[in-house]
Amino acid sequence: MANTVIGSSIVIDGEIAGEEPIIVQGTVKGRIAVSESVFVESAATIEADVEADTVEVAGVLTGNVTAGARVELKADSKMVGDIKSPRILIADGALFKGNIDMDVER
Amino acid sequence: MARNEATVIAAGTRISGRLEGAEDVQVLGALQGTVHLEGALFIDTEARVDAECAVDSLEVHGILVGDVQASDTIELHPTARVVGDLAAPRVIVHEGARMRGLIDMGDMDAERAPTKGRSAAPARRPTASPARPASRPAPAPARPAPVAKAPEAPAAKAPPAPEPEDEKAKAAPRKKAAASKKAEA
Repeated sequence: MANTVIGSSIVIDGEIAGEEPIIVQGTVKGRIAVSESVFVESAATIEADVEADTVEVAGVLTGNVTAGARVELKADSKMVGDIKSPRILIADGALFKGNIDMDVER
Repeated sequence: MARNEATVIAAGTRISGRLEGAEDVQVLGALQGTVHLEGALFIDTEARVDAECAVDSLEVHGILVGDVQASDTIELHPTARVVGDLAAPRVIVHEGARMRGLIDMGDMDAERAPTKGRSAAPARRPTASPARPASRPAPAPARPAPVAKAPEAPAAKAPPAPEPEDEKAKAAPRKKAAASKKAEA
């Protein structure tokens, strides 16, 4: 099944919800709530709270992230906001400001 | 740049709000709100779009509810279901497509009008007329007194009615002639 792709020139102000992986190359403001993964590519800007299974950030993300499985901040990514996820990876070179919560059930 | 990688809204994805951009967007899922695109909007068979759209061109295979303004082409394919007003210099309605609403192709020169208008008119008239009864009776009072028996005439010749709005003026005398011919018969 095709992924959802938000192209580089696209600006969405509102809400994205669904059951498909989402690849963002453009700009999204508002809220993203999906049951699959969210990829924030290097040219992308997200000003939104993100709920997903996994979140990969290579671009700029402002907002709180809640992931069921994993959050990865890649090198050269920028993120401001709180992360809540059982597994969190922050690569060398990534900029991050916010809270980390790995409060796993155990 | 990833610019030519078109934007896709997959079948399981719903977007609500405002969508803007300068590229083509393909909707297989659901889209709600407003759309401003310098590019083409494609609505797939299973997709549903509830939005006011301003786009370069629009292609509908699925469901669209909302007014659309296109600078180039609007094409309704056989599986399309549309409720809303469409404005574009070129509007193509394929057999099987259903819509309710107004189609506006802008200023038409007289030579171009008949062919363009007729190709689209029969497809939309049957669905369009019941929803907008006001638009039909309106011209009747404007007619001169001799056509006082007009009410029965239109009913008698209902099938050939689909005339493009813009031809109403031209059509009126023709209708009168047809009516009197029928009356003689």
